[in-house]
Amino acid sequence: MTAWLQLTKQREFAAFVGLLVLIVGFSIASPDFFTTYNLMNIMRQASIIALLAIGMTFVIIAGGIDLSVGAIASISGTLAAQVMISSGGGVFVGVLTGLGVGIAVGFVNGLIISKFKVPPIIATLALMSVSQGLALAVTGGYPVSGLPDSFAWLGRGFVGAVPIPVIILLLMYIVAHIILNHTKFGAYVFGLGGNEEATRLAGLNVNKIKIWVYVVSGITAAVSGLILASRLGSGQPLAGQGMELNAIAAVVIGGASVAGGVGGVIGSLIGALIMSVLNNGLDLMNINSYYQMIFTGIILALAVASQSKKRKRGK
Amino acid sequence: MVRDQMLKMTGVTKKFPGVTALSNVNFQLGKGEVHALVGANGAGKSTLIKVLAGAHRPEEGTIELKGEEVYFENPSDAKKRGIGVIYQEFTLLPELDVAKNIFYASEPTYGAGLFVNWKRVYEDARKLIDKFGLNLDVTAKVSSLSTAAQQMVEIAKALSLNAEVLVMDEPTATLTVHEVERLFEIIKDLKSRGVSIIYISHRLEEILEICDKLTVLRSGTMVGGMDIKDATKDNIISMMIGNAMQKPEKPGYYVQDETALEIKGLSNENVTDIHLNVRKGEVIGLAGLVGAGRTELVRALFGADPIREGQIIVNGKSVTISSPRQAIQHRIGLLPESRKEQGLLMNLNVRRNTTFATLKKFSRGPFISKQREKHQVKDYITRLKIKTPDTEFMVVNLSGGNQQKIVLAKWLCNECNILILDEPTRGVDVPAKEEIFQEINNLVKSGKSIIFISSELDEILRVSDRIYTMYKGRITGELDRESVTMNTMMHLITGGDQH
Repeated sequence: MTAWLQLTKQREFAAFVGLLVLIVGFSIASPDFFTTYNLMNIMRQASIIALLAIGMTFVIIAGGIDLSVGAIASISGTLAAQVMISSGGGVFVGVLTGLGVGIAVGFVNGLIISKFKVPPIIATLALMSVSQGLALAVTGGYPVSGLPDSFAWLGRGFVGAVPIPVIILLLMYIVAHIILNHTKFGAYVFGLGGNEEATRLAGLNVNKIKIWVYVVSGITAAVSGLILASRLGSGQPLAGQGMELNAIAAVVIGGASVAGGVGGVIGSLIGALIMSVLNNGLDLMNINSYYQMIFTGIILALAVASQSKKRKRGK
Repeated sequence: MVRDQMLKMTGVTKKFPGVTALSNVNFQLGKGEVHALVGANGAGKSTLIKVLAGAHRPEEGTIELKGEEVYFENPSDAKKRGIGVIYQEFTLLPELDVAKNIFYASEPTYGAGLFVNWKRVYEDARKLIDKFGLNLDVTAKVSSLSTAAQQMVEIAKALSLNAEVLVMDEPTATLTVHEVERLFEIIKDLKSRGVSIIYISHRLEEILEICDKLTVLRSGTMVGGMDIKDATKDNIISMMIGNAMQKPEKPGYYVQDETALEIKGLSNENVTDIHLNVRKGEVIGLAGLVGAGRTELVRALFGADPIREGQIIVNGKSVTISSPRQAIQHRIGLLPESRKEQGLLMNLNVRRNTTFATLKKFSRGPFISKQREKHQVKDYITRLKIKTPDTEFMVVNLSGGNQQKIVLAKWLCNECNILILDEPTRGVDVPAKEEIFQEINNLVKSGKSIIFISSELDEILRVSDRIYTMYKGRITGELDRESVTMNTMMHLITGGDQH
């Protein structure tokens, strides 16, 4: 009983209940919803946004925001594809290139924000534009297709009934959860977002922590971009466009505060799943995708409103 | 000279839970009079001003303006009746120009109140500034102005609402000597135009120079008032501190001969040519008024603010400290002035707040051992008598005293040799204060050194082995425990000479 009470006090609890309600509702509304195949499909659909949301969780807890993740996903996917095909570098080098690009863009984000004191929203907006532009310039605006089969496995493969992207997703979430909750770095991310001045006066190198946070976001965005390229069978320069906003929505629905200092990756995963379940369920009910956007917006506003209210009462 | 009466406050009593902030206070202000309100910290000056400004409602007492009894429900009532308050923290909008600031929220309009008459905003602002000789450019952006000029904008803003009573709360605390002269000219001019001024300051020589009358508050009661011509620094100070002041007993003396820290000729933006030294096992008190530069000095020492010149010597070695990180490497710790803004992580629990600066001690590689953290934090909870249900309780829900103990525990965890405590007792209840003093005693007993800042002079007297006084960014005196008196301290921190 007390364990149950403890659970209800968790920050993610509201989002979790929301997810359960949606699942139960759609299962009743459509016989095709609650099947292994469909549930795996939902997970796979959620995986791209959910991966972006990992890094975004770190950034938001640290009190920042990262608008460049969608563009990082695009440029990582296209450059990796470019290396694999035209430069003949092979799958391994291609994947490393994609990850390297993510790390590099994240590092530059962190550097501009910490050393040059540019507000995160502006710095990452600038890097979004630069990355997106680079992806288009390198490819001339065309998709880079003809990817090797061994790479296609990343986005389309299965182990048993479980899609590979879902396995990668879960592994990365476990690692991220451990980093955030059981390591010094994780503790400093919470400290930084909760009170930057106190963190500085505790003798910590605030700039270094910030840079690392954006590097983490760059890495998860790159992984997301690689899986996306693999699934699409080509490196498309606009593949990740606009996804940063969905990632932010997932993190915020999951209970993180955009003011910083509060949040967790489990909540963000639930947030990403809520959006995916909503889209999938409404699809099955033959509701036009235009309406899906409306529902997502309403849920986002409701989720944050309920959390703000709770936080106020908490004080 | 007998003046027409402007303001009369009679029998004002204001209680807060647990304390009576004001008890049956009477205060009278004549038209065109500059009246000083004097008292130590916590004497009730701010509360009295807040009652007058409509920010607090008193339990008892009346306020009369020009012979007519008034009630202020809120600050805007008081403003409408001509009470203007210029607080230490300005309320200006830095990105707007002078004229827009003066008429902010009271802009002249046309078209049934729909449109702002900008032409009149500038005309009226110019007229007002000329009338009172304020010498401001109405189109200058406020953020580009000096502190003194910003203060004039505040004054103009109050006057634009036809203020007849102007309250100035420590108006000279951040001004240069030249700016103070300028302010005094303006005060004299306002006075000749019939504006009455309540002047709050700790700087007695200024009060003797500019004011006509004086009222002294002590512990919420009015202890006396007089004409300035009858006042001297000595009689003002003895009224402020009363005669009951005994030097409190200090529980022990553990000062060693060895010097732990020496500062030579340290200067920066806020402090000038600071020399001081701290021995092992010694408690150094830094006494001074708000704005005297105590916090600025210790922040510079801790690497939180830049140093322009000077030398810091730790254990006989000259060291460079340009960040808190380096200060901590030299075993210096700082419990900051404002625990909420600078000390605590309000989003985290007791355990993590205590261990945050020293997580390395509780980690193997990158991983933190929660068990080791808990073990250590439980020790501190017992040692400092921190009242918290457990180590996982959120600090935001603790009382001020217990929050302060958590910040103290964080620094104890860091095992500093020199611990700076900046106002550790502010907003802390009496038992918690005693426990903090007890811990200071434990620390010096074990050979650590403490630099202790407090605005409460009796606390400084109680815990310090030696005291440095500060005034306007400089050290004005060094006093030994044996020879120090409340009176000499009060003189030195208010800009007087050592007696």
